[in-house]
Amino acid sequence: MKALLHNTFQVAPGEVIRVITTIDNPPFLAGFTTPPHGSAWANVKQTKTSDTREFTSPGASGQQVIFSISCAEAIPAGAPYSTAVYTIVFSSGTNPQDPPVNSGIVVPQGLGPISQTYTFIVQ
Amino acid sequence: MYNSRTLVLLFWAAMISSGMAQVKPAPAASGSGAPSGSRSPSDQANNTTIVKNLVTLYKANASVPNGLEIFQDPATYVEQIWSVAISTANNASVANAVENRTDQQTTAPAGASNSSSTTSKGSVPSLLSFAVESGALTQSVNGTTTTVQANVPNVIKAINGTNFMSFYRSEPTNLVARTLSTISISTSFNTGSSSSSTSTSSSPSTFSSATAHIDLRNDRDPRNPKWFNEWKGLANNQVQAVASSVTNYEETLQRDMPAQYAQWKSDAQSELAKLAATKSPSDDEITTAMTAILGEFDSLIYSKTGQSYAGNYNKALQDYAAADSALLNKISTSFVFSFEYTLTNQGSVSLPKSTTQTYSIGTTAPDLSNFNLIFAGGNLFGIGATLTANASTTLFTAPSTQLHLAPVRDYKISGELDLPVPPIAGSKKSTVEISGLFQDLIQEPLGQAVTVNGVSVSTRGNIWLGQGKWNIPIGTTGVSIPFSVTGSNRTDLIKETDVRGTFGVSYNLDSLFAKQ
Repeated sequence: MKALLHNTFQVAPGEVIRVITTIDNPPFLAGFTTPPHGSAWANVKQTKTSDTREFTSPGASGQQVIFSISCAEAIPAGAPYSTAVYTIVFSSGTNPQDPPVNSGIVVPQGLGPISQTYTFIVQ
Repeated sequence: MYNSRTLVLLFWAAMISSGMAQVKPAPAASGSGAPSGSRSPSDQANNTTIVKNLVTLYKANASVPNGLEIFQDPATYVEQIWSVAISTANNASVANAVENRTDQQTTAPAGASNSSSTTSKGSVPSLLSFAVESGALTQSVNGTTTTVQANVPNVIKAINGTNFMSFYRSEPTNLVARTLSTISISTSFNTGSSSSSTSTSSSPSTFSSATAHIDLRNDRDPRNPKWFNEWKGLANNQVQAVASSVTNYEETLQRDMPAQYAQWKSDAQSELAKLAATKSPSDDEITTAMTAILGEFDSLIYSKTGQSYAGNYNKALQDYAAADSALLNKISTSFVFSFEYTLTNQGSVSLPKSTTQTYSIGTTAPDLSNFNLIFAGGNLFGIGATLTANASTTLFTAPSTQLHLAPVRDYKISGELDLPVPPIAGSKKSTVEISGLFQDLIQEPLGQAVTVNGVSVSTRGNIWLGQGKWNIPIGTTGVSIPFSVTGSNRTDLIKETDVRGTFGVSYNLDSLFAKQ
């Protein structure tokens, strides 16, 4: 997996990509395009502050996997913070030597949900 | 917490479904291809707010890796356009709510304390004053009584903000932190003279009472592990549907208007690159960039597609707003079980003459200890009804052979059930209040007055009182007819206009005719 510009990634055919999303303070309120266009989610695990899931890229060059992540917030009144900070880490399960790519979405109180679309192109 | 946010979400859903949220962004700076045509003042105000929100969003996301990528995504602009439309609608709803509340207050029971004042001359000792200024305590003024209140989180916050953050984060999972956060202590001072039927008090700025309060059970924190599955359900259903709609929306734009979409995206990326080249862009610079990107989004895409392309997206946002609002409401009205202890100082109370007891003038009344169990909860019967119940006893803290007092002054049980009534024939929502009270007054009050239904009681014996109230809204006029019925074994406690035996009924048609 290799990061290109603007949330676009280059992946190998049949490469397993892991997506780990965490929030700094609960509750976790992120949703994922389901199924991701061009693939399917697998090994989904959710905790109070995180979500881990994987997908496998298509086998033919030029094909794409596209999905969005929408992040919302439920910050309690009187909380000492006013944003929900989501950290998203993309890594390759097939080629663990590839460096993971970090991304983030910050949702200020009252301005969510905030969405971001990611594209993975098979080459 | 709930709050303005709940209102926002509710009205978000309402506005989206009614199609009123079609607010268009501001025209871009000159040369950005903004659409022609005039816009109403409200549009201009909304445009300003949208850009302001985008600036807030930019500054918040500038600190995380690839955080600014959201600004080359159409979803960011669509969501903020909707968000501002909802806020605008919410402001109007708040005005209506205030109007309703004003109507209700005209029928509130008499005898309430004097209103608080920000220019009160009530004083508290200097250490407490300092604590109030530092935020460790909160201060309120009610009539001639000044109350300062503290809880553990606020004290920690005032001492050290970093410790407070770690304390706050540990609350959901740490029993000690969670318990400490539910404890509050308050102290009241008499800051002027006051009088009642059974007492006169007092010298200025004397200690009046102290209260300790602890929530034995309180699940109203959305971070509480109890709600994990509920939030998970929201994320895996409604938020997931929003994400799926975003992907579909953007793919549709790319398929149906590839040239415009590519141009807007390219121009947005150029604007963002210019902004990124400035190490610390000012608010004005961010505002200029956001105005340009938003304006071009409007002219090339949004004004040409409107909601026809975003139908499912809007529906997903609407469903999310409704589900989120329902969950927040459920959390904010979940059961709370609390214990409260109050010590009332009667050291400065000069006892009046009694018709049933004899004692020497100048004797001071013993202090009072009140133990109170409080239960509150909502969402009952599946209609959002709420119940509040109290069970308490008040004791004299010291025996007085001179006053011939038993240690227990009274026992009391009371409850109130609030039943929401859906709109009838276009009227607004209303609430039926059903309340009841039983009090065994074993001793005369001797000091702090005992009041039932706003009336001071000084005669010993059992007291029961039941009451039903309903402000019946009439159509869409905003006018309501107050209706109440009260029953009591003591007729002096019934304040209704029409009293038959132990029951009284009130209904006031004046407000109906006054506005017609």
